[in-house]
Amino acid sequence: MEQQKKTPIIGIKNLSKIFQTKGGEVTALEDFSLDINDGDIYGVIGMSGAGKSTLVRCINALEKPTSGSVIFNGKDLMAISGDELNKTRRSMSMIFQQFNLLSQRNVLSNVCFPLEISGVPKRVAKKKALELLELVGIKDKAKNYPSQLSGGQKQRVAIARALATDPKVLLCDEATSALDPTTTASILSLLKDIHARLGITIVIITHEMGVIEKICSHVAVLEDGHIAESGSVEQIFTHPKSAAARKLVYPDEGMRNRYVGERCIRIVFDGSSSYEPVFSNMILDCNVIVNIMFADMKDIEGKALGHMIVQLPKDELQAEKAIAYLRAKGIPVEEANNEL
Amino acid sequence: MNFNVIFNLMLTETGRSLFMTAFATIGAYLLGLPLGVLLSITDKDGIKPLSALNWLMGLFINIMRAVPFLILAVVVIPIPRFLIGTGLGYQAMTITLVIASFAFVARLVENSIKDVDKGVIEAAQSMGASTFQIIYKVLIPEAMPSLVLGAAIAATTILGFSAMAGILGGDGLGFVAITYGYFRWQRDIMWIAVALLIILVMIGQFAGNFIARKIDKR
Ligand SMILES: Nc1ncnc2c1ncn2[C@@H]1O[C@H](COP(=O)(O)OP(=O)(O)OP(=O)(O)O)[C@@H](O)[C@H]1O
Ligand SMILES: [Mg+2]
Repeated sequence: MEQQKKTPIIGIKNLSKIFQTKGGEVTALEDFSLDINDGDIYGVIGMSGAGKSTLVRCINALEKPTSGSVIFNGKDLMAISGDELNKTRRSMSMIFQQFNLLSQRNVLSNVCFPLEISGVPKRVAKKKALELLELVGIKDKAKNYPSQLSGGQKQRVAIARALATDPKVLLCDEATSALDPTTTASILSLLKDIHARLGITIVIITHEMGVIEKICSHVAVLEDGHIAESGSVEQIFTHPKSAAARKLVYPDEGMRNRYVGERCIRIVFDGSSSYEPVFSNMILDCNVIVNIMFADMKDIEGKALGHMIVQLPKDELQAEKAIAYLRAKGIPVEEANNEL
Repeated sequence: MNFNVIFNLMLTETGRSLFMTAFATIGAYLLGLPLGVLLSITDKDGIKPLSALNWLMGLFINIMRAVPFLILAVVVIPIPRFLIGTGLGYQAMTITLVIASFAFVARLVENSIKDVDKGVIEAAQSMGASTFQIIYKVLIPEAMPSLVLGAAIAATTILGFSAMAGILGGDGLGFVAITYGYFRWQRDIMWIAVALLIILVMIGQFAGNFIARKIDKR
């Protein structure tokens, strides 16, 4: 309820973006609406080509939407231009997949750059830049040039540069997609730390669910230019409703059938063991995926009686492994293909 | 001709060749640099797309570049005559060289600027940089090594033009080579002048490569 009363820091209303290309019209965003509240870490996830980059570029008016509006901090970005737009952009920074540092400037003057263009005196800018380099843990590289840094270090410089103008919002377009998993984790925890310290709103654009899990409070699932589902990360994780969200939360759901083969076996429980632990232990211990085709079980005083027919993995070795496992536990197993 | 006379002749004319080349290059960049920047930013994927202006400038530059140098030099003689009172001599020829080469310089500059990483430009835009700030704080500094290489090409090409201008009475090493080698049949003097031209071109190109490598932080 309280969330509803708060005015969002970024309000996106009925945003559409259609690109005119030689091959015809491409709809990158279609009637897209989303509110991002102050202090959120809002994730936007989607497959390649879903329109994520187009969305961030519309959020800071680098791209002009075909229709709809973006209200940032009470200002309609589509209604302003020139100096006013440039001033407004200073409170909304952005970091990129390719870092986009100025190659001919050293680290320190890269971080000074946004201050320089907003007219901050050199000395003040330099002091601020050094503080920020300290914050992102890369002060010792102040005199180095971007070409002398690793990807993770470059992204730290980019983050310091983005924070230089004390923005209210930090937009991250695939900021960790060019980094290895360890570096990704360290950049994400840096962003989390910055969020905790500065209370800045962060918008994270990604195609990796892992990134959302680690850092976001809210998430919108983007599919073909519109929102398939949005809400708190917890909610989407535990109850994904849309097909697009399910695909992201359970990435190999659809693949499993491929691994299950034709061969079926009947497993008989004669009361000498309880069924549940044996069966689930087989799945875990042998690391196999099976399909239960049929089961007629009764649990009588903790003893399992009855039988079930399961479909074994396609991989023969795995299938044999599962059968051997069950037999070792003293459970009768027989081939059951002709019964179905 | 004894050694001293030849030496003094070569010294004076080398100095005049260098004068023409240096000042004509500077002049050509005064016109060509802004024009080249304008060409690249008004392109359809530049930071300030203005297709009509871009098309007009492109047309103008193509015309300037298509006219052969010697013809252009003859056509523009009234300009130095009007500006400095004469159409002859190395000062006049410097002005002619500027007119003959700024369009070429504009294309060199345009190419260097277009090579600047689009992502870096986008980053500057996202920080709220104005078009003018992007030009002098992003485009030109980022393109600097490539601009220096271009300048070496421009200067050596202008030196070559200045030598060709010798035929029109322009002074310099080209003039020496033509008068002594062609009109007076003193081939040794001609070869000395040609050798000096070759050396100047090599020095110019080497200096350009060296500086470009030195300043490039990539
Ligand atoms: N400038 C453009 N001109 C024409 N079409 C474009 C342009 N920019 C993007 N598109 C199209 O819009 C759609 C969305 O592109 P966008 O770059 O936003 O996707 P994305 O979600 O960021 O993908 P990725 O994960 O690959 O970066 C794509 O179909 C793309 O081809
Ligand atoms: Mg993208």
